[in-house]
Formats: sequence, structure tokens, C-alpha cells
Amino acid sequence: MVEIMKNKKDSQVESITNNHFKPLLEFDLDASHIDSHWEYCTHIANFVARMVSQNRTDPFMYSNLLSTSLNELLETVYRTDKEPGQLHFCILRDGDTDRIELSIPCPQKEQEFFTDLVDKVYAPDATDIYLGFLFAEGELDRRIGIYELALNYDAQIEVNLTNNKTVQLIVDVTLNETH
Amino acid sequence: MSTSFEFDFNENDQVFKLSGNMRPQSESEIKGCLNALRDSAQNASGTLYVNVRRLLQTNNVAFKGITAALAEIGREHPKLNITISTSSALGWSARKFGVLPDRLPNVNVEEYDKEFYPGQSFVEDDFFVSVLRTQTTMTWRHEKHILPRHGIAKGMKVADICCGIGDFAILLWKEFQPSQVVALDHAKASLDYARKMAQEFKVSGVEYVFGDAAEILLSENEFDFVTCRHSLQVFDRPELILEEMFRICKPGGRVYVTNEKNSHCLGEPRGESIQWTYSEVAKLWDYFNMDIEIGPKGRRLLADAGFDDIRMESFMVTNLDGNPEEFAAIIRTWKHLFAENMARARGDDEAFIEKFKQGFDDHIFAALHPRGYAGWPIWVASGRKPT
Repeated sequence: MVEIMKNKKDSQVESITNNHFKPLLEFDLDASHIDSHWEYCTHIANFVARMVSQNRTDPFMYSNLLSTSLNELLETVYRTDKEPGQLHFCILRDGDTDRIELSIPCPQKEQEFFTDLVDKVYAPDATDIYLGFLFAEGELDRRIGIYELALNYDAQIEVNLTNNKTVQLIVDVTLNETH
Repeated sequence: MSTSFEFDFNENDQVFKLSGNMRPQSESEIKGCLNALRDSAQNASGTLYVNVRRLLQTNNVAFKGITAALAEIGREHPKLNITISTSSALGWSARKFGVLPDRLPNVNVEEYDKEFYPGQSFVEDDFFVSVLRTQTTMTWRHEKHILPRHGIAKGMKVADICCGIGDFAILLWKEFQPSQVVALDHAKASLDYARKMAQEFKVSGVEYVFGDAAEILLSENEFDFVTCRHSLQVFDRPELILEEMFRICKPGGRVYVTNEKNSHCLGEPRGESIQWTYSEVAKLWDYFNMDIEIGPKGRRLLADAGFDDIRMESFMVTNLDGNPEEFAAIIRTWKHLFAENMARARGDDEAFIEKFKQGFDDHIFAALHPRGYAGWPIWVASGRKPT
């Protein structure tokens, strides 16, 4: 059963439920592969971005922007504890908006991590929290990537709990400069 | 490690330049770079410039490291200002770095765009843009025969740098069937127009991209043929553009440039007045640090940039090439641009401007005269990137 988090503003709920998105690219990846190769994050981000940017207004700028946002998502996934299984990746398009769907096999605590995180990135204090991560001493807080997607890319992020072993992140980004 | 970046500190200009792709897994992977950034502050006073215009990609590990280094510099050098120069061609960097001044009061962030080209605002005048298509129509009659002599061939990957309104890229695509054309310009209005025309003409093989010709964000050794037409003369540092064209050209590929020597524009009758005015045009452009006389210097510029097998020729666009009204339309635009905009901006008096305008009127007169002749000479130069 798909449970859609409904704690976002109405427009986000509308976006996430619209079915006008057409798939552009879809693949599965063994979760253990991404765990073993950090550089896969940037390779996948760059490859996918270049593949789907050809007919955007400015293909170079679009590709670079999409790669940057995808990479944040993939690095967050890299730092997620995962269960054995397949990561499912799909990128879809509806006009100027691209949707990234990423299903991650992961334990219950990571599902709670994402639902809790996405619940907070649209709160009024989100910018302060993001800056807090940026200026904190020590290791980088892995939550920063999702905050950045929401704050710097105006991404609409949703979490689906498809079953007790998988969390699906849905990220809508509108990066195309139409004029 | 997902990083392939370079850094460099120019002590003379107090610029710490960071370029490439920087997505490390841990901060320790970029430690050398961060230490160099901290060290650069030791040797700077007043303002330290941090140039990230060619930092194509970064992640939050790197960004946090850079932020910490800048914060440390701020604490240890409270009187030092730090200006971060980002590029609008990247889309993400101005926004990402833009959060820093909130917490780091000695940091400010600038989005670099066209201030590099001090004279460029003159040629982005809407009135001038309207006649660019006519110019291309007239030069294309010659260049479509000239280009093969300079190495263009079917199936090549081509870049057109400073593509303006993009019509040359479309003509190239139609005539020579390249595998791809990437057309770059830093004027968004021109690119919008170019995309609109490409859509109208159902041209799908041309990618119009926003960017700075002197700091092109395309990969090195990527293109078989790189063109730049009538543009080196507009910039105050043409050698930087040639350096970039050299970089993105494949070894064995060729770079093709066209430029003018405006003082050699000619016409009869009224040749003396015409010659005086165009000699003054050259002085006027020089005043604004642009070299409209650069055409015959192409051979030297290409050699200095490292090219070999340099080929050079010239051609003359004349009133006899097609409808003389087309030629006259170009000169009317020049009159407006040079006399009304540039001469007035230089502070020239009315008497000079009137005499200056007369030469353009006489050039138009020669072009439209039933027995007249009017010409606009253009120099073509191309060079091969050594293998």
C-alpha cells in the first residue's frame, strides 16, 4: 500500500499525485554496488543529467544543474543504511518539471529518518537548520543534501513507504529556463 | 574520489581560482586545496578574490570545507574582504555561495556575467541586432564556399563561439550536416532569439548554450571545428577567447575566425569622405578597448595561441552581392551604432559627429548609386591544433 505523506502544501500534494509525467529513463542498481563506489554518485548523476537534457532550453546549463541536484540525492542515499536488494531509479518529465523517483531498500529506522527529514525541510526554520549543518564543526550531517534540494532547488520532495523494506523518494525539480 | 579540480593563487591579482569537478567523499581529499586557500589570505591585503566561475560541480562536503576555510580566514584576517566570483552560466553556484554573506560578514558574492566585455553593451543594442541577420546573409554567400577550404566537413562536431543570434550556426548545420553544433553566447536575449529561429526552421541539431567565451565550460578536446566570427574584435582580450577555442578543439581539429579591418571599408563615389569616417571608426573602437582593425592580425593571433597550418584569406562583401539595399541597411545600422551611441558616449562634439555621419551617408550613397561600388572587407583565418 502506498502511503503519501500529506503534510505538504496543497500544490505539492497535487504535483505528486498528477499522472502527466512520462518516464524518460529507468534502471535498477544493486544496492551493494553504490555502497562500494562513492564515485558512482557523480557518474550516475552526470550520465542521467546529460541523457535527459538534450531538448532543454540550455542543455549544458540544465544538465549541470540537474546533475548537481541528482548528486545531492545520490550522496544522501550513499550514506543511508541499506538492506540487500535493488535500488530502483526513474526519471520522468511533465513540461518543465522533472521527477526523480528513487526506491531504496532500507531498514525501518532509515524510513523513519526520511519521513522525519522531509517533514522538516519546508518548516520556517529550514534555512537556519541548513546553515547550521554548513557551519557545524566535524563531519557533514547527511541531512544537508535534502535540505539543499528543498531550499536551493525549490524541489518538492515526498516520501512513499511502499512496504516495510523500501522507502521511495520522489523529488520534483523545475530547472528549465524557458526564456 | 569524484574530483578532478585545479586551484591556483595569483598573488599579483590576489585571485584564488578554483576550477573543475569537486565532489569528494571526505574533506581530507581536498585538504591541499583548502590549505592553499587559507595560505592565499596570508599574502593578500584589502580584497581576496575567490574565483569559482569554472568550478563546474561541487558537493556539500567540498562546500562545507570551503565555507570553513573562509570562516577561518575571516577570523584570522578581520580586515580582509573576500569577494567570491560565481558564474551565471552554471546556474547553481550563485545561489549556493549566496548564503555565505549572512554568516560571514567579510564575504560578498558576485555573479559574473558580462562586465568582462566593456564594449559589448554597444553591440547588444536592439537596433543592431535587427540587422545582424542581413550581415550574415551577405557574408554567408562567401563563407559557404570558403569554409571547406578551412577544413569543415560533413559529420563534424562543431562549436560556434559568440554565436550571437545563432543564424550562422543554423546555416552551418544546413549546409555541412555536422553531427552536432554547440552555439555559445553570453547574451541571453540573442540566445532566446536563436532558439526561436531554430524551432521555427525545425533545426534540432544546434544546442544554444549560455556562457562566457573567455571561460567556456565545455570540455577540452571536444570539437572538430570551432568558429568565432566578428567577435575577437569586440573583446578587449581576444587572446583569452583563442586560448579557450584552442582548449575545446580536438588535436588535429581547426579553429576558424573572421574579423574586420574597418578602416579598409571603401566606396566610390565620395571615396575620401568614406575613408575618413572609417579611419575614425577604428580610433573610436580603440578608445573603448576594442580592435575593429584586428582582421589581418589573425595569422599572428592564431600562431601566438599555438595553432599550426594557419590558412588566411579575405573577401569583400559589396553592394553588388545581392540587393544593394541590404548593404545600405548594414551601413545605416553602423551609423546609428558608431555615431549616435559610441561617439556620443566618448563625448564627441556635434561638429565631429555630423562629419562622422556624413561618411556613412556617402557609403550608402555609393552602395545605392547605379554606377557606384561599396565594399566591406573581411579577413578569414584558421589554424590547426597540433596533434
